[in-house]
Amino acid sequence: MLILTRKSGETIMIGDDITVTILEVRGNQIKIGIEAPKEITIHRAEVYQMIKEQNKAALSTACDPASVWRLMRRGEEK
Amino acid sequence: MIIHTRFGDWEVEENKIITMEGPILGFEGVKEYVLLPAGEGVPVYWFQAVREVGVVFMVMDPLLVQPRYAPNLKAACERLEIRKEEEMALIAIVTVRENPFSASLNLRAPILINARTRKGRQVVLEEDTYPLRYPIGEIMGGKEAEGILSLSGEAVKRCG
Repeated sequence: MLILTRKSGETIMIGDDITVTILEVRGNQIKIGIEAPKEITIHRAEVYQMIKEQNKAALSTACDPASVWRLMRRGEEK
Repeated sequence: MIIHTRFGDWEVEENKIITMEGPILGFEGVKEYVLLPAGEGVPVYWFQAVREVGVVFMVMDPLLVQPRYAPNLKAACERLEIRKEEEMALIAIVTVRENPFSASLNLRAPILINARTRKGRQVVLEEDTYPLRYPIGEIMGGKEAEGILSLSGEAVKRCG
């Protein structure tokens, strides 16, 4: 892992089109500004992990769509 | 072209392919999908990878399950160059659990597609207003958004 020390207001370049700027440091919280091309997706790591796991769970359970529909219709009949 | 799926082979016009500009998280290498109707009279679709038979998600219009669903998609719409409401197709992934049978909808990370350019992305909503597993247990009725209908439009099942 590359480790760099930066002060508030300073920037890091990743490649030639991604910039990471330290906007504010307050206690143990750091505000970061990121600029990147639109094909690059940026997520908080824990959120990314959570969505990824949910996507994988959805994949393994692809089943009969009519059963899902029936589940929804049951609500309608109430 | 012919798309092979678990549910048989489908004839789909090449101009119906949806390209994921931003990935389905965890499936970064899989970029091309088609939307296939999952059953007659059932507003559920398969979001099927063009080349990977095993990559298929059950999806539906989230508004059918939660009519008050109104996530902030402004930035995502800009990135996908969605300018008019008719160009926007929003779908959400269904997760099914067996024993006992239950189904949930991922409202936290819907798939947004520009129906005109057929480019899409899975949008991760910053706020946690909408859950990752919204239980599907009731339907409020209503009609699917036109955008979704236009995406799956002419897919024809060949066999299987």
